[in-house]
Amino acid sequence: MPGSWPPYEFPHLNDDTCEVTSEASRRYNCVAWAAGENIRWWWPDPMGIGYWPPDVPRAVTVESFVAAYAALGYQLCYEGSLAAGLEKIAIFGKENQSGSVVPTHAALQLESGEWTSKLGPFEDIRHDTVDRVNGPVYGKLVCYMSRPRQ
Amino acid sequence: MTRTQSITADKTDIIMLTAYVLLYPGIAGATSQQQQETICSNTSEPSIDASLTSPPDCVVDPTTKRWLRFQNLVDEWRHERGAMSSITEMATLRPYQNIIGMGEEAIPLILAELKSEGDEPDQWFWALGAITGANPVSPEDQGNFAKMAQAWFKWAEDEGHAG
Repeated sequence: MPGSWPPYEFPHLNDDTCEVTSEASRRYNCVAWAAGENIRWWWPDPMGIGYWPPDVPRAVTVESFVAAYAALGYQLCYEGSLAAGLEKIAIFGKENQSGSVVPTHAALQLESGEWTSKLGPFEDIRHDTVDRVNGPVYGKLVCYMSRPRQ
Repeated sequence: MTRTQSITADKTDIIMLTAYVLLYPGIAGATSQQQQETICSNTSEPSIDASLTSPPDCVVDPTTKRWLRFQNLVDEWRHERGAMSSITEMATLRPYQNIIGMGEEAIPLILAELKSEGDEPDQWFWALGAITGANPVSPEDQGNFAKMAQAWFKWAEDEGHAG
Protein backbone atom coordinates (compact mmCIF):
# COMPACT_ATOMS: atom_id res chain seq x y z
CA MET A 1 0.00 0.00 0.00
CA PRO A 2 1.53 3.31 -1.07
CA GLY A 3 0.21 5.53 1.74
CA SER A 4 -0.60 5.54 5.46
CA TRP A 5 -4.40 5.32 5.15
CA PRO A 6 -6.24 2.17 6.26
CA PRO A 7 -6.33 -0.05 3.13
CA TYR A 8 -9.85 -1.30 3.82
CA GLU A 9 -11.18 2.24 3.45
CA PHE A 10 -9.97 2.44 -0.16
CA PRO A 11 -10.19 -0.99 -1.75
CA HIS A 12 -9.36 0.39 -5.24
CA LEU A 13 -6.15 2.21 -4.29
CA ASN A 14 -2.89 0.36 -4.74
CA ASP A 15 0.56 0.87 -6.26
CA ASP A 16 -0.85 0.44 -9.75
CA THR A 17 -3.72 2.91 -9.42
CA CYS A 18 -2.33 5.77 -7.34
CA GLU A 19 0.80 7.60 -6.28
CA VAL A 20 1.36 9.52 -3.06
CA THR A 21 2.18 13.16 -3.80
CA SER A 22 2.58 14.68 -0.31
CA GLU A 23 3.26 13.87 3.29
CA ALA A 24 0.28 13.24 5.55
CA SER A 25 -1.14 16.44 7.02
CA ARG A 26 -3.96 17.45 9.33
CA ARG A 27 -3.82 21.05 8.14
CA TYR A 28 -6.05 20.68 5.07
CA ASN A 29 -8.58 18.30 3.61
CA CYS A 30 -9.91 17.19 0.25
CA VAL A 31 -12.38 20.03 -0.11
CA ALA A 32 -9.61 22.61 0.38
CA TRP A 33 -7.24 20.66 -1.90
CA ALA A 34 -9.79 20.53 -4.74
CA ALA A 35 -10.31 24.26 -4.25
CA GLY A 36 -6.59 24.82 -4.71
CA GLU A 37 -5.27 25.39 -1.18
CA ASN A 38 -3.42 23.48 1.49
CA ILE A 39 -3.54 25.65 4.60
CA ARG A 40 -7.10 25.23 5.86
CA TRP A 41 -9.62 22.50 6.52
CA TRP A 42 -12.81 23.30 4.60
CA TRP A 43 -16.08 22.03 6.04
CA PRO A 44 -19.53 23.62 6.62
CA ASP A 45 -19.96 22.29 10.16
CA PRO A 46 -22.43 24.06 12.44
CA MET A 47 -19.78 24.79 15.11
CA GLY A 48 -17.77 27.01 12.77
CA ILE A 49 -14.64 24.86 13.03
CA GLY A 50 -13.94 24.47 9.32
CA TYR A 51 -13.49 27.23 6.78
CA TRP A 52 -16.40 27.79 4.44
CA PRO A 53 -16.68 30.50 1.78
CA PRO A 54 -18.56 33.57 3.00
CA ASP A 55 -22.19 33.84 1.92
CA VAL A 56 -22.45 30.09 1.25
CA PRO A 57 -24.82 28.26 3.63
CA ARG A 58 -23.01 26.21 6.28
CA ALA A 59 -24.91 23.00 5.67
CA VAL A 60 -23.51 19.55 5.01
CA THR A 61 -25.44 19.11 1.76
CA VAL A 62 -24.46 18.57 -1.84
CA GLU A 63 -26.16 21.88 -2.64
CA SER A 64 -23.89 23.73 -0.22
CA PHE A 65 -20.79 22.08 -1.73
CA VAL A 66 -21.93 23.01 -5.24
CA ALA A 67 -22.49 26.60 -4.05
CA ALA A 68 -19.03 26.70 -2.44
CA TYR A 69 -17.29 25.66 -5.65
CA ALA A 70 -19.61 27.91 -7.68
CA ALA A 71 -18.17 30.77 -5.65
CA LEU A 72 -14.81 29.78 -7.20
CA GLY A 73 -16.22 29.85 -10.73
CA TYR A 74 -17.22 26.20 -11.16
CA GLN A 75 -20.48 25.15 -12.79
CA LEU A 76 -22.16 21.76 -12.81
CA CYS A 77 -21.26 19.66 -15.84
CA TYR A 78 -22.29 16.26 -17.10
CA GLU A 79 -19.11 14.22 -17.22
CA GLY A 80 -15.51 14.03 -16.08
CA SER A 81 -13.52 13.35 -19.21
CA LEU A 82 -10.54 15.57 -19.92
CA ALA A 83 -11.61 18.64 -21.91
CA ALA A 84 -9.19 21.19 -23.30
CA GLY A 85 -9.19 24.43 -21.33
CA LEU A 86 -11.43 23.12 -18.58
CA GLU A 87 -10.60 22.30 -14.97
CA LYS A 88 -12.94 19.79 -13.37
CA ILE A 89 -13.75 18.68 -9.88
CA ALA A 90 -15.77 15.71 -8.67
CA ILE A 91 -17.92 15.69 -5.55
CA PHE A 92 -18.52 12.41 -3.74
CA GLY A 93 -21.20 11.44 -1.25
CA LYS A 94 -22.94 8.61 0.48
CA GLU A 95 -26.46 8.01 1.72
CA ASN A 96 -27.21 8.65 5.35
CA GLN A 97 -29.74 6.71 7.39
CA SER A 98 -32.62 8.86 6.16
CA GLY A 99 -31.71 8.26 2.53
CA SER A 100 -30.26 11.70 1.84
CA VAL A 101 -26.92 11.94 0.08
CA VAL A 102 -24.34 13.74 2.22
CA PRO A 103 -21.10 15.01 0.70
CA THR A 104 -17.95 13.25 1.80
CA HIS A 105 -15.12 14.13 -0.56
CA ALA A 106 -13.94 16.24 -3.49
CA ALA A 107 -11.28 15.48 -6.10
CA LEU A 108 -9.60 17.68 -8.71
CA GLN A 109 -8.74 16.71 -12.27
CA LEU A 110 -5.13 17.29 -13.35
CA GLU A 111 -4.10 18.50 -16.80
CA SER A 112 -3.06 14.93 -17.60
CA GLY A 113 -6.61 13.73 -17.10
CA GLU A 114 -5.66 11.96 -13.87
CA TRP A 115 -7.18 13.07 -10.57
CA THR A 116 -5.78 14.29 -7.27
CA SER A 117 -7.34 13.73 -3.85
CA LYS A 118 -6.41 14.53 -0.28
CA LEU A 119 -7.43 11.61 1.94
CA GLY A 120 -8.68 13.18 5.17
CA PRO A 121 -5.72 13.62 7.55
CA PHE A 122 -3.52 11.37 5.40
CA GLU A 123 -1.57 12.09 2.21
CA ASP A 124 -2.75 13.57 -1.04
CA ILE A 125 -2.52 11.29 -4.02
CA ARG A 126 -2.70 11.18 -7.79
CA HIS A 127 -5.12 8.50 -9.00
CA ASP A 128 -5.63 7.30 -12.53
CA THR A 129 -9.41 7.36 -12.61
CA VAL A 130 -11.85 9.39 -10.57
CA ASP A 131 -13.63 6.40 -9.03
CA ARG A 132 -10.53 4.93 -7.37
CA VAL A 133 -11.49 6.62 -4.09
CA ASN A 134 -14.94 5.00 -4.04
CA GLY A 135 -15.48 2.94 -0.94
CA PRO A 136 -16.96 2.81 2.54
CA VAL A 137 -15.69 6.24 3.62
CA TYR A 138 -16.35 8.44 0.59
CA GLY A 139 -19.19 6.49 -1.03
CA LYS A 140 -19.31 7.29 -4.73
CA LEU A 141 -19.35 10.08 -7.25
CA VAL A 142 -22.28 12.49 -7.04
CA CYS A 143 -21.54 15.19 -9.62
CA TYR A 144 -18.89 16.96 -11.67
CA MET A 145 -18.24 20.69 -11.93
CA SER A 146 -15.97 22.59 -14.31
CA ARG A 147 -14.52 26.03 -14.93
CA PRO A 148 -12.01 27.49 -17.37
CA ARG A 149 -8.55 26.19 -16.41
CA GLN A 150 -6.63 28.84 -14.47
CA MET B 1 -2.68 -12.53 18.42
CA THR B 2 -2.35 -10.76 15.11
CA ARG B 3 0.56 -8.45 14.36
CA THR B 4 -1.73 -5.40 14.68
CA GLN B 5 -2.99 -6.54 18.06
CA SER B 6 0.56 -7.17 19.15
CA ILE B 7 1.61 -3.66 18.15
CA THR B 8 -1.37 -2.15 19.96
CA ALA B 9 -0.58 -4.14 23.06
CA ASP B 10 3.04 -3.01 22.95
CA LYS B 11 1.98 0.63 22.66
CA THR B 12 -0.44 0.22 25.55
CA ASP B 13 2.30 -1.35 27.62
CA ILE B 14 4.56 1.61 26.99
CA ILE B 15 1.81 4.07 27.96
CA MET B 16 1.03 2.13 31.13
CA LEU B 17 4.69 1.82 32.07
CA THR B 18 5.18 5.55 31.54
CA ALA B 19 2.18 6.24 33.72
CA TYR B 20 3.62 4.06 36.48
CA VAL B 21 6.94 5.80 36.36
CA LEU B 22 5.24 9.20 36.54
CA LEU B 23 3.00 8.06 39.34
CA TYR B 24 5.66 6.25 41.32
CA PRO B 25 8.96 8.05 40.59
CA GLY B 26 11.06 5.63 42.61
CA ILE B 27 9.88 2.63 40.72
CA ALA B 28 12.10 3.15 37.70
CA GLY B 29 15.04 1.70 39.59
CA ALA B 30 13.12 -1.09 41.26
CA THR B 31 13.31 -4.73 40.28
CA SER B 32 10.42 -6.41 38.53
CA GLN B 33 9.49 -8.17 41.73
CA GLN B 34 9.54 -4.91 43.66
CA GLN B 35 7.39 -3.25 41.02
CA GLN B 36 4.95 -6.09 41.24
CA GLU B 37 4.68 -5.79 44.99
CA THR B 38 4.46 -2.00 44.95
CA ILE B 39 1.87 -1.58 42.26
CA CYS B 40 -0.17 -4.72 42.34
CA SER B 41 0.08 -6.11 45.82
CA ASN B 42 -3.29 -7.76 45.34
CA THR B 43 -2.27 -9.57 42.16
CA SER B 44 -1.96 -13.29 42.53
CA GLU B 45 0.25 -13.89 39.48
CA PRO B 46 3.78 -12.57 40.16
CA SER B 47 4.59 -11.78 36.54
CA ILE B 48 5.82 -8.46 35.16
CA ASP B 49 3.63 -8.99 32.10
CA ALA B 50 0.54 -9.24 34.26
CA SER B 51 1.39 -5.97 36.01
CA LEU B 52 1.74 -4.22 32.70
CA THR B 53 -1.37 -5.53 31.01
CA SER B 54 -3.88 -4.99 33.81
CA PRO B 55 -3.07 -1.51 35.13
CA PRO B 56 -6.60 -0.10 35.38
CA ASP B 57 -7.20 -2.41 38.33
CA CYS B 58 -3.94 -1.39 39.96
CA VAL B 59 -3.56 2.35 39.39
CA VAL B 60 -5.59 4.22 41.93
CA ASP B 61 -4.65 7.81 41.18
CA PRO B 62 -7.70 9.47 39.58
CA THR B 63 -5.59 11.85 37.48
CA THR B 64 -3.71 8.96 35.93
CA LYS B 65 -6.90 7.02 35.37
CA ARG B 66 -8.44 10.01 33.54
CA TRP B 67 -5.31 10.44 31.45
CA LEU B 68 -5.25 6.76 30.48
CA ARG B 69 -8.94 6.80 29.62
CA PHE B 70 -8.48 9.94 27.53
CA GLN B 71 -5.53 8.45 25.63
CA ASN B 72 -7.49 5.28 24.92
CA LEU B 73 -10.41 7.33 23.59
CA VAL B 74 -8.04 9.39 21.42
CA ASP B 75 -6.60 6.19 19.93
CA GLU B 76 -10.06 4.75 19.34
CA TRP B 77 -11.28 7.95 17.75
CA ARG B 78 -8.33 8.24 15.38
CA HIS B 79 -8.84 4.63 14.33
CA GLU B 80 -12.57 5.14 13.68
CA ARG B 81 -12.06 8.53 12.03
CA GLY B 82 -9.74 7.09 9.39
CA ALA B 83 -9.76 9.17 6.22
CA MET B 84 -12.93 11.09 7.00
CA SER B 85 -13.00 14.69 5.87
CA SER B 86 -16.27 15.54 7.60
CA ILE B 87 -15.76 17.42 10.84
CA THR B 88 -19.41 16.76 11.64
CA GLU B 89 -19.10 13.01 11.19
CA MET B 90 -15.84 12.65 13.09
CA ALA B 91 -17.14 14.72 16.01
CA THR B 92 -20.15 12.46 16.40
CA LEU B 93 -18.12 9.26 16.68
CA ARG B 94 -18.58 7.53 20.02
CA PRO B 95 -15.01 7.96 21.36
CA TYR B 96 -15.09 11.69 20.59
CA GLN B 97 -18.48 12.05 22.27
CA ASN B 98 -17.11 10.17 25.29
CA ILE B 99 -14.27 12.69 25.49
CA ILE B 100 -16.83 15.50 25.46
CA GLY B 101 -18.73 13.55 28.10
CA MET B 102 -15.72 13.74 30.42
CA GLY B 103 -16.64 17.41 30.81
CA GLU B 104 -14.29 19.95 32.36
CA GLU B 105 -11.91 17.20 33.45
CA ALA B 106 -11.04 16.73 29.78
CA ILE B 107 -10.01 20.36 29.20
CA PRO B 108 -6.40 20.11 30.47
CA LEU B 109 -6.01 16.74 28.74
CA ILE B 110 -7.24 18.12 25.41
CA LEU B 111 -5.06 21.22 25.72
CA ALA B 112 -2.01 19.07 26.50
CA GLU B 113 -2.78 16.84 23.51
CA LEU B 114 -3.21 19.90 21.29
CA LYS B 115 0.09 21.32 22.50
CA SER B 116 1.88 18.04 21.86
CA GLU B 117 0.67 18.08 18.24
CA GLY B 118 2.65 21.23 17.41
CA ASP B 119 2.15 22.45 13.84
CA GLU B 120 -0.31 19.68 13.03
CA PRO B 121 -3.15 20.20 15.50
CA ASP B 122 -5.94 17.66 15.36
CA GLN B 123 -9.69 18.28 15.54
CA TRP B 124 -10.08 19.14 19.22
CA PHE B 125 -11.87 22.44 18.69
CA TRP B 126 -15.38 21.00 18.55
CA ALA B 127 -14.81 19.26 21.91
CA LEU B 128 -13.33 22.37 23.52
CA GLY B 129 -16.25 24.47 22.28
CA ALA B 130 -18.84 21.92 23.37
CA ILE B 131 -17.39 21.54 26.87
CA THR B 132 -16.62 25.19 27.61
CA GLY B 133 -19.25 27.02 25.56
CA ALA B 134 -16.46 29.40 24.54
CA ASN B 135 -15.36 30.36 21.05
CA PRO B 136 -12.10 32.31 21.14
CA VAL B 137 -11.38 31.81 17.42
CA SER B 138 -11.70 34.77 15.06
CA PRO B 139 -13.95 34.08 12.04
CA GLU B 140 -11.04 34.76 9.68
CA ASP B 141 -9.06 31.94 11.33
CA GLN B 142 -11.74 29.27 10.87
CA GLY B 143 -10.22 26.15 9.33
CA ASN B 144 -6.65 27.24 10.11
CA PHE B 145 -6.00 24.79 12.91
CA ALA B 146 -2.60 26.18 13.88
CA LYS B 147 -4.10 29.62 14.49
CA MET B 148 -7.15 28.11 16.16
CA ALA B 149 -4.90 26.20 18.56
CA GLN B 150 -3.10 29.43 19.47
CA ALA B 151 -6.45 31.11 20.16
CA TRP B 152 -7.42 28.28 22.50
CA PHE B 153 -4.06 28.39 24.30
CA LYS B 154 -4.61 32.11 24.87
CA TRP B 155 -8.12 31.40 26.12
CA ALA B 156 -6.76 28.73 28.48
CA GLU B 157 -4.21 31.15 29.87
CA ASP B 158 -6.85 33.82 30.43
CA GLU B 159 -9.18 31.33 32.09
CA GLY B 160 -6.50 29.81 34.31
CA HIS B 161 -6.37 26.46 32.53
CA ALA B 162 -2.72 26.80 31.53
CA GLY B 163 -0.66 24.02 33.01
